[in-house]
Amino acid sequence: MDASGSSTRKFPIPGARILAWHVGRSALTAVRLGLLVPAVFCILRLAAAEIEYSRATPESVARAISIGKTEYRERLAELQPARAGTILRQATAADPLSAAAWIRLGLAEEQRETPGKTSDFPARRALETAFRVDRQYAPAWALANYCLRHDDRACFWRAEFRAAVRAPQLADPKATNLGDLQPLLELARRMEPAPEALLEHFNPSAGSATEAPPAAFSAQLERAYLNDLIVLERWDDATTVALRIASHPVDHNPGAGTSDGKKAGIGDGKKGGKKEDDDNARLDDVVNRLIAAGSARNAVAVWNRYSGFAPLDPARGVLLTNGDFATNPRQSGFDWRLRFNTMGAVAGIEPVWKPSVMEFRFAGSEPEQGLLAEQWVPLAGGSFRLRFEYSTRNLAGPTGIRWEALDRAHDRTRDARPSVNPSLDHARERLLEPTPEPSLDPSTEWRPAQWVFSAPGPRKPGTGSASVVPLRLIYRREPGRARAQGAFLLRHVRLEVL
Amino acid sequence: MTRFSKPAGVIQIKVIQTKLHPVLAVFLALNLGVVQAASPATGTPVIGVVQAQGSFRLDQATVTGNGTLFEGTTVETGAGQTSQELRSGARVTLSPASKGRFYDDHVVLERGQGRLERGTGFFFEARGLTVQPETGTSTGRISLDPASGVQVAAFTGSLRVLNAQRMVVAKVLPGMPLAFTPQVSGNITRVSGKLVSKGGHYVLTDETTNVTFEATGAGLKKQEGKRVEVHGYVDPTATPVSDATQVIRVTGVTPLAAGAAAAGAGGATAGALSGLVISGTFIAIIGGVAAAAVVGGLAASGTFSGSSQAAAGSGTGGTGTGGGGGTPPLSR
Repeated sequence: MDASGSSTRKFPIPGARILAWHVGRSALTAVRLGLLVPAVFCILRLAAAEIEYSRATPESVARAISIGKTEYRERLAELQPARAGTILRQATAADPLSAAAWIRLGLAEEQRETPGKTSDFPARRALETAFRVDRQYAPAWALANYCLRHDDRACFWRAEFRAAVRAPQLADPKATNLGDLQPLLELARRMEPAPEALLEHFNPSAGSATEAPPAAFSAQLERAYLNDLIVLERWDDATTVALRIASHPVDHNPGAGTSDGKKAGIGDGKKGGKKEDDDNARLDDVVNRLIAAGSARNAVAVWNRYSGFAPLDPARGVLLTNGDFATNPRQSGFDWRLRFNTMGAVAGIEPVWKPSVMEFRFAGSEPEQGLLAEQWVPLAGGSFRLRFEYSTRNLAGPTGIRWEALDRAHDRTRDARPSVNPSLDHARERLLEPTPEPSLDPSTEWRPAQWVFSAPGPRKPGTGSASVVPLRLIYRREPGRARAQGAFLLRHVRLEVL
Repeated sequence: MTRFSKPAGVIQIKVIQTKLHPVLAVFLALNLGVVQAASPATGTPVIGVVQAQGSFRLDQATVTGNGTLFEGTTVETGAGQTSQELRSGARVTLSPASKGRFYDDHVVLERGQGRLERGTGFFFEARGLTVQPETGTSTGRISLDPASGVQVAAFTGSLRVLNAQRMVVAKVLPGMPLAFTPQVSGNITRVSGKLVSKGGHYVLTDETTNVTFEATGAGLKKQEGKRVEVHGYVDPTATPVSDATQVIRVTGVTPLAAGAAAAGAGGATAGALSGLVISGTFIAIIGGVAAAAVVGGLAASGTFSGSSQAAAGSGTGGTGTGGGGGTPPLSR
């Protein structure tokens, strides 16, 4: 039997095949319509809901809610604050996994509750539920705020720690947007103003730690906190945190252990992070700012902790850093500064460091006057002698090169920050020695020399009353002389208290 | 003995139950709890909560969702609005692109506009003006416009506007939004209305600002019962008769046509407000503050663009449509 015979048996009546085809097609169309109509209906309902929602009146949003979206209820609660609690309870019942609805419910309940012992209140329960259903930053942040408002310290530090652990800036050791943590840190500061105690609350082994933070957590937190304190110009607290950072061992491979999700274990007793190479730049900045703020003692303390130079000790007369030019001047902190603008040194004067010698090359095109080198020195009142050795190459005498020290304390209106682009405008900056020494004579051989000056203030060095004085090596063209062309070499610089 | 302790800087109180009625003890404990909650362990007191749908700036830092208001906290909105619930009970809504600094009993509006509800004892400050509700049920909106000054609209109840010397310069009623511009000419005052005699004193209620003055000076008797424009100076040391809030020392009186406003009488002072008011609207000047009606803008739509509104009304202003009562739509 062939196929046609088979077909004939299946549809014995002529036209039955056509009828069956039509019936099948109609059924398929009906199925399609059956699917399409509800879909279209749903789309129209959603569109209508959006239109109602966009009208933003209580009535229109209520109509939109009947179509059903949890966030519509949140909006209605916003428009009807008196009924917010009821509306948001409905919202959380309709979508118990909506952390946003739980947070809003918590905040609405907070408006109604009497502050006191918070653990029995629905606001806190709602906010804790928000964190349970969505273990992210936002619920932890909301709960931390709530606990702060209710002065519940245990609750606060637990929530604060959870929020901090979820802050992406604290997980990435290379994150630079640490300023975004300012709101979180502000809450912490308001609850605990003492820096050490504050940081202890974020210690992974502390009681408030409920989970393991990322490996970079502690170090990043300290950096963020330091930034925060600098912005607030809280210098003593910034010094405390800077000293803490400076005390950490240097981690030359800071990214290691974070990309693979390695965590610092709870209870491992690690109190802080590791210092990175670029933390030194951060600490340089702190020292510069402390100097600018007139906080000499703090600046010296931080500098001594991390700089790697022999510790400064104004009380014992250790006042100068890197006087032997043993290392290339770092242009910051209490080390020598040689470059005074973004283009580098003064045009026409090229500073060249060689181990134990600093050389300044004059092209003959330098300005009439210019700064060769500067170091900020912590000095109390008294007389001081600067000893040094120098030699010249191809410089005619007198060279026009001399030392000077400035008293910046007399002009508080001036930005006392270490010079980025200092001028030699002595109309605004008073010289400690009003009558400058004559400039140095040329010498092709190494020649010892000294310069004596005095600084105002009590003659009790290192008693916290020390101020930071810029000590400068300058060039000023001598009258009747051509601009210098040659080189000036400097070594063995010592500063002594007389 | 129940002991509630406060951290440094906060008064420590001991409630000895044995010496107090139990109800009183509970009352004191609850009240102390409120104080305690309002001041976290250290630092500035908490004054409220701020909420938003998205992110906003809190003391120059970006925050998402919600945050805590401390004394002096600055809130800056971006594309969305924020809602501030204050411990005092007041509720302030900041519109998009607005900025305000919040204190326990007031907010200094620095940019944009804000809405006040439940503001008993709470007030707005904007460009040296103070806007406060007359009752706890008063609600209203205060807007800053770079060109025209401060605009105030009441939705329910009424709002009082005071100048920097705490002198009442307007009473803003629902449906009658007003725009204010502080003038450089100090205490100069110019108002208009019907001059009536009460117990031998002349009293005038300004048609624009709804502030009632006692007028003293020469030439008032013959203007009694008429609509007049009065020029003079407010005397802050004088005590006005009842119904009036201040005394104006009259330097000049000009009769006005009955039923019509003094068209465009603002002169130079009108310049600053000309973009806001319809032609023909009287510009009152009280205590160095120029005030004029805003028509069809602020109160009617719930938003104010700051651009000139269509000159569709007439008379003494305050004819904005649909400004009073109800809850105006908030921008999303």
